Amino acid sequence: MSTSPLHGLLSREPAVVTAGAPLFADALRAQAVPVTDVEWRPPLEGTADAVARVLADPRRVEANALALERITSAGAELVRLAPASEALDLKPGEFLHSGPPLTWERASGPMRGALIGAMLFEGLAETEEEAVEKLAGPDITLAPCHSRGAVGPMAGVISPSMWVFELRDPVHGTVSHCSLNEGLGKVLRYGAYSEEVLVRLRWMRDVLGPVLGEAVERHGPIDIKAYLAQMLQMGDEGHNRNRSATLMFLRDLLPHIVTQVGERSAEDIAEVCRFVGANDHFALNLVMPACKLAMAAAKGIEGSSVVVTMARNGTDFGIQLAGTGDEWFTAPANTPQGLFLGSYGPEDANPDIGDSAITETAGMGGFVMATAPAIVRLVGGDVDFALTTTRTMYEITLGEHPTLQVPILEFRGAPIAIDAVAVARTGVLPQINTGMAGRVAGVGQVGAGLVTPPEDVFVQALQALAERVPAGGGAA
Amino acid sequence: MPSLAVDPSPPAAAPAAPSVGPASAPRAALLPAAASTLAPAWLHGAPAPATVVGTFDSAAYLLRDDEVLPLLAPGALLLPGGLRLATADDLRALRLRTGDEVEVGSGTVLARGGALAVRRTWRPRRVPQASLPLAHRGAALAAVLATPHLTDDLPAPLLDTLHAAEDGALPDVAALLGLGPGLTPAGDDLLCGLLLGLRATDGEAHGIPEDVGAAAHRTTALSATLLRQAALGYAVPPVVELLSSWHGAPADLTLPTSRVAAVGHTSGRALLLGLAVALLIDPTPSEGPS
Repeated sequence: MSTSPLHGLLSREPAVVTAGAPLFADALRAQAVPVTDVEWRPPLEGTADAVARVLADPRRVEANALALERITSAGAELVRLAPASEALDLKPGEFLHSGPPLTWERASGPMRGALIGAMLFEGLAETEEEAVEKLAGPDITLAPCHSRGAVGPMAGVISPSMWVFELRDPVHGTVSHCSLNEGLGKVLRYGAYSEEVLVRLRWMRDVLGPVLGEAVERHGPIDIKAYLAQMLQMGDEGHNRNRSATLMFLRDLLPHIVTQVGERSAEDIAEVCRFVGANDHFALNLVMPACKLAMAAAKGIEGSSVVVTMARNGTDFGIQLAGTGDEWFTAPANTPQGLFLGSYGPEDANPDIGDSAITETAGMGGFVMATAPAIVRLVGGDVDFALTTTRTMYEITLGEHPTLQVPILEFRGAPIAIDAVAVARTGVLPQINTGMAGRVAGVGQVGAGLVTPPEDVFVQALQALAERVPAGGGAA
Repeated sequence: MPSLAVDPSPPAAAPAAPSVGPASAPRAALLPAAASTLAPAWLHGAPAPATVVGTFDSAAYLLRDDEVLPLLAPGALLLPGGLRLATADDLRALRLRTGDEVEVGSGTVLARGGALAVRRTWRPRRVPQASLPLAHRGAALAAVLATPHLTDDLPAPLLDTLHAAEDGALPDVAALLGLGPGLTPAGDDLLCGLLLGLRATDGEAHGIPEDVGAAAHRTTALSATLLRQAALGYAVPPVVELLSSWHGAPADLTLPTSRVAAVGHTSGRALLLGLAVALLIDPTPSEGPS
């Protein structure tokens, strides 16, 4: 090698690599200079130092590999249904809700509506006014579903009398719970609490829960993880399209539901079948705890930058990382943009709400929109957007899921295990598709759309992760 | 050193930048190209036909008046007189086929699929012209002769030339010219190496450049073009690198030598033979052979 001055910079051909403003590349190309464009942008503002420290953490690569291995190997079996009082040891006056921790004062309309409805449903208040007064008082306890390893869509309110699915991960022994899905429109989880909502909740408590519980008892554990893999091959993505998993679930349980005729009225049995079969979102509440089990398997891995929770309570968007324990990193939730029901419009939409983003956290939902292009008719965008979204999510994930596969991408595995470092370095935010709740308590669903987390949650999370890098292990 | 200077005499017919013509225009925007200072004069002269005499993935050759204009996409061997394109797509867009006629002149090349316009010039590198100390000369020769498979697949007369040079005999220029198959016959490659080696050692040339110049019409036009350029000290970058490192601080010459050997299928190794011949037939007058 000749030792020419400046390493041959002035004697050899320059190799031009450009990033950022295209002006430089365009000017050079116009002069027949070969240019390599690099999709580079500065890391998210405020993350540069934290990212440097985290990248220098010698534990990180192994910790993330372990997280990926645990997430993809986690199983999910539906083992039973039970009231939350029993399954989650929920006491009267205790309510679980979606997203990061929240107080009544800071709760948004749909969350307040759902809590009011739950108070009425539990008989802790006779009127809306009484419910509001008590919810603002000292005797009611609010806690995130995630604090109990549970998940709830939209407002995600779980009260002691509500029945919940109990899923178990046979690989890691973890358990997760989720409420039963009420359907769409005027429902508690979207903040509605009218009499029809309460009547439905009582029927779910008295008929639906016990009948399904008995059927699962007779059937034995149901492999929900297998549903996830199959539904992706059937055009559903598990967040806002759950039709195929709902029907698979009904198909598996039907023999064990109908054999309960005699113990229960034929009308009750028929109504259970009708209710489940008519609600295309029924299986969302099975997909969510299955996804929760996958992510729970990666909790508490020191040094890992994997996002294990994304959840919203209607006020704040919160995330948790594998390497930062139970700490929440929160920022004001964005408002989804999408399509609206009837005469509703953007001004009616509440900010992002629900634990259902656990699906995206686990590589489902928005991350596999490519497999469910029909979803764009519900949430907006076009087919190209659906395909592009999935391809883009590979930029911020650690790997591809071995069993959750996307046929249209030649059965490529779903993008799995969001790396907070990759989010900061690329500026690509996780894509979530979601239902939209009315801003005003009691309205219910107003539409469905697309939303991303606020950048700031990743900034905070990375700063906290950087602080946990052992001294000497990271860069100064 | 490549120059980013704008061509001082911009072609009159070409717009200042690639632009979208009227909607009815059959042609896409002019593709930018960079012309070597050694490119044939007819590139900038009055527009007239030139013939496509060869097309490859990253290069094509145009011929007029016994002079060849190589079109070079990134990745192509950087021939000293080439017209360089920014991307291989640009070359493909021209849709050149061997035997086609294209119109060349005023700094543009008009082909079936598109058109090129010269946007800047670039200056090919030249091998240094300086006498080579004896120690350097020995190291250079040793590195060349140590090249693995140096003479594989090369026509016998090339080996004969090398052996003769070891005995101090001069090469038979007339016998080597045009010897071998292809656009650049192996005999010509050896002669290119010989011309470049003689310049780089600044030794006694024994009239060889004149002999080559006089007989250049007896080989292919591309080869003749390269021989003319070699006589002036212009070569492809790996050869310039190697000859520069001959003059540099003593260092292991294995890598730069192997890079020359890797040029083409046999061209690089034939070039190396020429360099060896140059080193052998020009024993330094003041000292005996090492």
